[in-house]
Amino acid sequence: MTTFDATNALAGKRIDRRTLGKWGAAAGLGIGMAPTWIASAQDGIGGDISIPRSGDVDTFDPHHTVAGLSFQAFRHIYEPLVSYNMDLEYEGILAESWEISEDGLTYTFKLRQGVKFQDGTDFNAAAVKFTFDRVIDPVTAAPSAGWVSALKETNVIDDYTVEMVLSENFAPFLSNIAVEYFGIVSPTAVETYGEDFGRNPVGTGAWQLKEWAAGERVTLEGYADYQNFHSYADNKGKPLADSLNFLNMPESETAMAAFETGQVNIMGLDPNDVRQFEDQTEHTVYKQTDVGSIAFVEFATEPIPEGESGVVFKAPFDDINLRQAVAYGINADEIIATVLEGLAQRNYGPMPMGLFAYDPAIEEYGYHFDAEKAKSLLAESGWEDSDGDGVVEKDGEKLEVVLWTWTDSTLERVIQVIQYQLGQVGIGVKLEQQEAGALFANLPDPTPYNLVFMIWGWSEPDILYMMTDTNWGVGNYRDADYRGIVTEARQTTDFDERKALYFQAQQKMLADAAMVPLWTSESVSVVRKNVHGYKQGPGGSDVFTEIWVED
Amino acid sequence: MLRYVAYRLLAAIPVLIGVSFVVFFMLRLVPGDPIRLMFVNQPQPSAERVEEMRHQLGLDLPVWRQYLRYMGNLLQGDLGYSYRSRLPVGPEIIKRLPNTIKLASAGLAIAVVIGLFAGIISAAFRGRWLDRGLMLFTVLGISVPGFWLGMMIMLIFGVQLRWFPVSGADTWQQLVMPAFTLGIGAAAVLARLTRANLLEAMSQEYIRTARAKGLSNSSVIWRHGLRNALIPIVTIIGLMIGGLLSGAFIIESLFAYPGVGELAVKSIQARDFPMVQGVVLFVATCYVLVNIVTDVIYGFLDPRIKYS
Repeated sequence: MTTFDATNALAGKRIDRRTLGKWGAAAGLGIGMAPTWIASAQDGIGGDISIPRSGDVDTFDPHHTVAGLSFQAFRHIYEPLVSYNMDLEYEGILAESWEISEDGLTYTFKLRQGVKFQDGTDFNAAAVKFTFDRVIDPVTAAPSAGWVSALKETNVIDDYTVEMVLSENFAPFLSNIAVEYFGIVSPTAVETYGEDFGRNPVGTGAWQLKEWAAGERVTLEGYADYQNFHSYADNKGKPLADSLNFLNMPESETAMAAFETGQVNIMGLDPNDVRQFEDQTEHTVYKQTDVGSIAFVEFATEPIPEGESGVVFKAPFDDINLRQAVAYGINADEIIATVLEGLAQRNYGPMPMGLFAYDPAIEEYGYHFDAEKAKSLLAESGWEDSDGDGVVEKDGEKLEVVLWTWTDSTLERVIQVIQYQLGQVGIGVKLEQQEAGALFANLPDPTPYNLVFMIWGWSEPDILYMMTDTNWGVGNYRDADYRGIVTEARQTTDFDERKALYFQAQQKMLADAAMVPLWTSESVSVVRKNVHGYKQGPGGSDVFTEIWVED
Repeated sequence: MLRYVAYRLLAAIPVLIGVSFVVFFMLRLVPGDPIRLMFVNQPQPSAERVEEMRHQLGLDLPVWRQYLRYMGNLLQGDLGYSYRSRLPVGPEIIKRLPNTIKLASAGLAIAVVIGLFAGIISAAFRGRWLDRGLMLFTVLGISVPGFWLGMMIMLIFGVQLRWFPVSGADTWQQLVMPAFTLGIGAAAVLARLTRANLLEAMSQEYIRTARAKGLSNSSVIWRHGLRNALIPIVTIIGLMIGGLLSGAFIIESLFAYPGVGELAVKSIQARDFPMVQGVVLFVATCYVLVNIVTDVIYGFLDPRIKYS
């Protein structure tokens, strides 16, 4: 039986529940914190954190959306049963500890006692059952339900013990429910507000909704009885700042002007804006790796009938030499250094760099930029530039291909460099950018294009299964061996065994040159000097509970 | 008069049904799947999961049945639920509509005040340097793109002088910059129009009669010239409101002003059909109502026009 104990991760040594209870209460009162917290709390230090974003929240109901902009706001209101520590290992948040049965089908969670929702409702096993029943209920139509499709039922064992039964072995279960889409909601609030729960969210998180001025601003305020169970948190109680505001600013020019005037004080930056903030003294620049992201180029493929295996790359990339020529021909380091202003890390494999199943040794198996090698691979397959126009031909046909991506100013420059680099080895590339909606609708038909530049993000290694389960590009890569490995990996609960399977899968994908991995991106936040206590949690996420802002 | 208004209101119903029809079917012609778009930059759900969700949202029905269902609900005052948030569409729009109306009205007020004033001064000083200077400004006002103008206004009055906050809609200060950005183009058009109409009116014989009676210059301009020059201007103002409502979309986005424009743009990108349909219907309704009001005002200004 595999046993994880959350309290270990929290205290570094085993402590029983009674001690934990005391510790929790002490945290609430501010005892045992670093002296600065006491001082700040007494000095009445607070202030308002204001962050500009490109759009508004759709809804605060975590079971009704998978939109990033909504998630970024409601993840401060709800808490999951488990989450990650700074080493990206699991730690208990609303669950104190958990056990997974030998067959991997039953997860039993011991819940924290003495936690209350922001509306005063007790947090207990019934609330957990209520939440997960709601997620998988077809009436809810939760877009996130697909990520816990293995969940059959949730049973209350006693007030503070809950059991989740899966219909099949599904290793990503724990990390999927660690995302706040599966944060525990107050059953009282859901019943009281009905369809308006999305405007009246109630969770156990550090912040609660104070005001949502639609299209303009979301204001969250600290939850007075908050107990912070994250091991990386120094402030174990209510957030120090008076409010956390997300301001809707669709144009980045507006956000920059607002940052300049102090109307906002923490802001994410596009790579092309970073330079403007380099040598100023009124703010600090923080870098963070987008742990779950992977940027890559994929090849157009024909759909594979459901249940069948194999892969049909659309010509001319049905020839592996040509796919490898693309992999050797793109100089990702150059793109990172120029267009991305250094804000990415070269990733030679398909696994996002921040995930536990990322294999640093993948560099050995990956394709390193080598224009000569690319040219010789093309020549090997009979593609040569006989008329001297720079583009290779075979049987009188030029190697000219179409690359698609979505409309975005940074991406526009990225694909222009790719066009130039592939042009240098003799592959003519035509670029087309489409609005995201149109792009995703057009991708399943491989006829009009050959290459796609794509970025995906997910916090669980199962991404290797999911990215080969769509209906275009690498999504149609249903190689029997690869499929077997990633399917086995999602059913293996043993950590090391699972990791080893993903290493294999990555190598297999590279050997087939099924896609061309490029980088895992990094992002940058600028923080004004009057903002104190800014820090980043696991995976570079912002920790807002310890910030206070000087007037 | 009342009968006329009632008639116009009734006549508006087929117009709005037509709008709903066109919007409904045009939206479905645009490529893009609302469900796939929910998962942009995230692992896309499997094909069977997508089908399941299409069914849950009623997207698996034939389009004409979706339309009938939509119209059936609409008759009961139900605009449906957003695909993205599952929240009812009506309240979401009603929350933002006042902001857009406030911005369009403030823009209109600025346009009317500046436009009429500049037009009258120009006409009064016809051919002199003041007239030429003002008309040069109107050419600039008409030709400068709203987005650029807004950015300049923001940089000067927001960032440099710090007179007004660069975003938001809580206080009147936050309305100033977007309203000016919106109003200035319209003001330039109105100024030129007022000048031309006023000059034309001033050359009419009844003006000569008025002057012959010995009325003062200002009285001639205000009571006799302007009142007659205003009639075509009111029509133009009525038509301008449509432009201001839609022009507000871009300005709203720049000044992060929470109106329906921002909502419409986001919803179109997400293929959130019910939300887009709702916004278009609301804006069309406003437009129709404004036009009815304009025609009624027309009657007050020109005693020759009678409605029955």
